Amino acid sequence: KSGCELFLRFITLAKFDTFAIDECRQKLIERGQVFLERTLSSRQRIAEYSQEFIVDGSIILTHSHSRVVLTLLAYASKFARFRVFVTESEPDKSGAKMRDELEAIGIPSICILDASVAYVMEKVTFVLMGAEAVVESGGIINKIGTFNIAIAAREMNKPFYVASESFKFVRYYPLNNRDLPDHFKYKASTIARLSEQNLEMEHPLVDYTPPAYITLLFTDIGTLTPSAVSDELIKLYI
Amino acid sequence: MLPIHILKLIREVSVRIIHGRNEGSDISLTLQAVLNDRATMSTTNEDENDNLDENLQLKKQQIQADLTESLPMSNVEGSVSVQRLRPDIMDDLNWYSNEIDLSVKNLAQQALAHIHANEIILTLGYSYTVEQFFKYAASKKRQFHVFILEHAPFFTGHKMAVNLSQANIPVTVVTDSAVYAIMARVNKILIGTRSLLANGGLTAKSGTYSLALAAKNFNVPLLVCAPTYKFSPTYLPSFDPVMCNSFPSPENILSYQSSYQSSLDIVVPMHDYVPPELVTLIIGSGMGNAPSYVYRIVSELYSAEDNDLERS
Repeated sequence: KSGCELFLRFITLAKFDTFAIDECRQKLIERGQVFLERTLSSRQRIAEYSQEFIVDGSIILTHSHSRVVLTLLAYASKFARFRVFVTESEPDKSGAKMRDELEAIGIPSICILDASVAYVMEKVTFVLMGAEAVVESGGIINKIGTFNIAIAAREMNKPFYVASESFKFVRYYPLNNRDLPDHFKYKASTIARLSEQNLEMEHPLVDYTPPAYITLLFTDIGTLTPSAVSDELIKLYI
Repeated sequence: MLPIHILKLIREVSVRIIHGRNEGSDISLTLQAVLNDRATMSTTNEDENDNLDENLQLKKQQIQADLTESLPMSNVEGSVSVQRLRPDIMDDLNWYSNEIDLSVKNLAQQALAHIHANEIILTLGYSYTVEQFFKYAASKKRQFHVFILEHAPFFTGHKMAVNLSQANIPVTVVTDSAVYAIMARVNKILIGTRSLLANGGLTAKSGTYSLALAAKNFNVPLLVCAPTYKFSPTYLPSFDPVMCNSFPSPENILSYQSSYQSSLDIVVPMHDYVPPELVTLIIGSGMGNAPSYVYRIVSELYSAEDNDLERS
């Protein structure tokens, strides 16, 4: 949602003086392509920025399947040796897919149960997540189970890093987990199928992790603390 | 475009300086930011920023020397731009060195706002900034008592005690290990730091982390005096002490003359990392700031490209 909004703003808030419709069209298309290039290269830039944080001998915990984290780890594996624990992340078991892809790159990785996160946390050097959205408070919305891991990491004093592209920054400020709107938490088909009250019986697909639990965010605009996110957000959207 | 030559030159010099010197803060980054701004807007008189340590004069000469070296290398059109930029750059460097000299004075002016009458203030070791801070408050006839942690094994606390007592400030020197024991009596803590990281954390003298933990336990505010040149855009990539710390000689602990087994390992770390959660307030040249606000100050002081010199 944020990606689309940013795209629209980017292509329409361009400056030009003529009214010729063809030229306008051309300009819109050009800017669209610039936006596309920037977003495609953003993962590579994230990987470069965060490279110094991955040292030899790190043990990294990650959650579910994230393409950003995959690119990041693939790039870092050229410079450092490390191991990865991936949570299975029910209900779709996408963690297993992540583990397979990591093994294919040559990074030793183990798939663990969601329930064993606290058990494993003492061995871990730091936690690295992707995000489905980064909200105005500096918190993130990500696959269900992220908040569990954040709480365990905080308790054991492990850094909790989030890697996300800047187009995922969304102008939204949830106060707590209950505050998330239904269309984030459940698939559209589920909402269509059930009425208001029955949604309570369904399990949500995402959760909100408040900024207090996040140490740093790696984005293509640089490494940010959660408090810097709202500043960057404003810069992106004006 | 000539400004790019200048920037490249400055970057190379800065990288060499950063690699050569282990101590000192990340001055070359903001010096670069200053010159960056100047190069990109050579006519406007922007407000640039400051960051330096005692080697400023040396640095200025070095950059001047490099600039004159680069002249023969550029083409005719290029050399005209350098000549034009030169006086502006010299102005900026002068402004820069003045800012450094004044930044501690500006900081000290805020002493009365933070030091209240009859307070007991704890500090660690010797810091020029903190000394000036205390002296200013004393000169305005504020009564307060200072506890100074010795900061073993370098014992810089003793020097601080001597200096402060010369200004007629009542001092008490305390051993580092007693920090937890006296924390209940202390009203606030005022320390200096080697540098401030972009996330609001500190790299400060060894012993500061235990001080900060004791303070957290007793809910004693931890105030950090940091002139603008101590703000750094870097983050600490890992908490591994070997990577991110320097270790001076263990002569102070066990002299070379004494005989001991070769399996004995003496570790003397120079610095501690203090996470931002333990810091209450960062007192800068302007006003007090929360550690979570440091990113904003850093983004104003530095240009985004200078955050990592190695990658050009």
